[in-house]
Amino acid sequence: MKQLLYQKTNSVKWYTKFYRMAFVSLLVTIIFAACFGCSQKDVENEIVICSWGGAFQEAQRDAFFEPFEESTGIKIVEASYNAEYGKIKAMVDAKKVMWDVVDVETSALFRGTKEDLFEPIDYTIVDTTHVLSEAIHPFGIGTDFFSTVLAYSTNAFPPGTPHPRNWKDFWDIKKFPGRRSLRKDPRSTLEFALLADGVQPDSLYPLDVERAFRSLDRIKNHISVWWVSGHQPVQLLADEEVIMTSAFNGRVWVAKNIDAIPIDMVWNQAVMYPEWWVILKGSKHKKLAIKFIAFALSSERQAALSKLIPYGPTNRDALNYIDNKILMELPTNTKNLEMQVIIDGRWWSENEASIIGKWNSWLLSK
Amino acid sequence: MLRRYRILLPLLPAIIFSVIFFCYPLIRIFALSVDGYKFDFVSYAEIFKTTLYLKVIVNTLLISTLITFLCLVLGYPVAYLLSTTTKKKRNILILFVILPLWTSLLVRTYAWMVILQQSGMGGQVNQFLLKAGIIDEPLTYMYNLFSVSVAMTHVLLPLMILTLYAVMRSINIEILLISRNLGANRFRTFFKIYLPLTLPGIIAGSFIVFMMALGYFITPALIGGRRQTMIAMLIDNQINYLLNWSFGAALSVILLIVVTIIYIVFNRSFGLDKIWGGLR
Repeated sequence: MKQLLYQKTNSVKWYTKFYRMAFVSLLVTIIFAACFGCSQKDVENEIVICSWGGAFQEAQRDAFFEPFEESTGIKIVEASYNAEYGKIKAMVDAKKVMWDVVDVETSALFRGTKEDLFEPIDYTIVDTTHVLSEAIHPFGIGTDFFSTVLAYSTNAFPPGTPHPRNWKDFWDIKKFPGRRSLRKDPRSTLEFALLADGVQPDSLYPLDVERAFRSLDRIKNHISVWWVSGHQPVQLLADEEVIMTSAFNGRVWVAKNIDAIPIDMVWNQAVMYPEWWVILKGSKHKKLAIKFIAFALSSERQAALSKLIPYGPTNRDALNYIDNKILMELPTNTKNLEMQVIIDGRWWSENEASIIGKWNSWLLSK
Repeated sequence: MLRRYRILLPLLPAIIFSVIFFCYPLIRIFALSVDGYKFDFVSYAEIFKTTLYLKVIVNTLLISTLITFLCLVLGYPVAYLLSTTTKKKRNILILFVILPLWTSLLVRTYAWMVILQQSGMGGQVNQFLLKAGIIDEPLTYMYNLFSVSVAMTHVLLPLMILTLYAVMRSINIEILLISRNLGANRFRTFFKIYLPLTLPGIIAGSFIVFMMALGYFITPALIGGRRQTMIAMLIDNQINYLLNWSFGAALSVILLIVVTIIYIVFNRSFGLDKIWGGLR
């Protein structure tokens, strides 16, 4: 009976065989994995650049990446993110730096400088003769200026009819009923909330955070979508999911003028940001990275970017290569500049961490 | 003595695998949540300080329950059809069930975005209803519970159908004929005979769908509104944006505890181990 149940002699053989096979295959797997690990050596002639995706990165590709590859033979691998500071910090802290050059906001530049995440910029290589002094920082160089503006659908507000002109109008549900969207990020959104509440643009900073959240409370239930990546707001307007939203000025321009989407925007009360190139600490391609930054900062390349997407160049000489029609669309144009607020990156870098926590619990609460 | 354990030898690779790739990371996550050897439960205290996170957990459980229910109601008849139809038809029908499983989750979610939006390129549902004169102005299907339920049900439905199908295949259909022959009507036959026989499939399918739904992240993030925030989205937020890894880990541990409790309850009341083996 026992013999029948277990079939000792046979089963042991079978299991031993199976075990041997399993062992061998495990060994083979480990060897393969080891080989693969070795083969993942750093590619010498290559840099990884991370930017914001969408129409903006397409413009950067045409203006910076491809010409750089052609003139130097250095390959550029692209990545994109939604300006998550956390991703950069995690990479550097874990010493697994996958990006060499990153396009960051001012608050990220300041925080990263404080937390030692970036390599210093070698200014002997970059020609800064014509670069604005505000765009020069020991750990980053300003690449362009962009603005977060109020954008609206011209289907909902056809030309000739009243359309929202400032954030007070955006907050006015009675005057302009309909679904809205804002960025799922307190940066610039708190500024908008305060402007809507009647704070004067020149007395915005330091932000009255409590007042901003109270102001946001009034509009919360009319925000049907909180957008995350830069291409979303334009898509939401195109799909008529919302009638107005905050959006990056360049994306609106590309959608309106190149993709012929019925949307428009106002410069009034927009918030302007500088954007920076930084090199992540621990990058294995520092030399190539700085070479790229120097290339991208030349007047010719800067002008090329502004022609593709109207973001203001930090190299003033670039303005000589841009025609008047585009100049009018740049955030740095004097006429546009007068109507805008420039974000206080230093204030944000100091307060960001605590505000983001508050912002997230605010989003979740009723 | 040793000989007896020899029977476990073939399991060794699987055990090694799960120790390295499952148990160890799990321990690390727990360690992260209590700040290593300090056993500092500050993150947990933070979670229970407000009702916010509990609300999100309850919300996650409610959405998952709804999705499970929808999958069961929609999947049951399909599985029945699959198990009773001819082999030729079954092969074609099964393809329809499996094909979506092979399609990327992102693609399926974006497809729903296009179909459900107000207008523009897609918005087929709205356009159809408008043309048919059923509605006067476009309805809002996106960024609410409706869009999340539709998309998540669509994504998880094949799992329910396949699990139910496996159980239904093993049921001898002749039993139903006998029941009818003995005088029971259709309803009675179904509720007294067929439904109890398929119960293991119902429980296993619901269990799998429910567990998968609990950890869902991409679909509610893309097409849900603020009110459809699920726990996995909060974990992502803590890890990727706020860098509060300990807090994110604590949230994960709590999710794991909730899942374990549900598993134990399911196991006690239905005996899940029997279910994995099908109906014997």
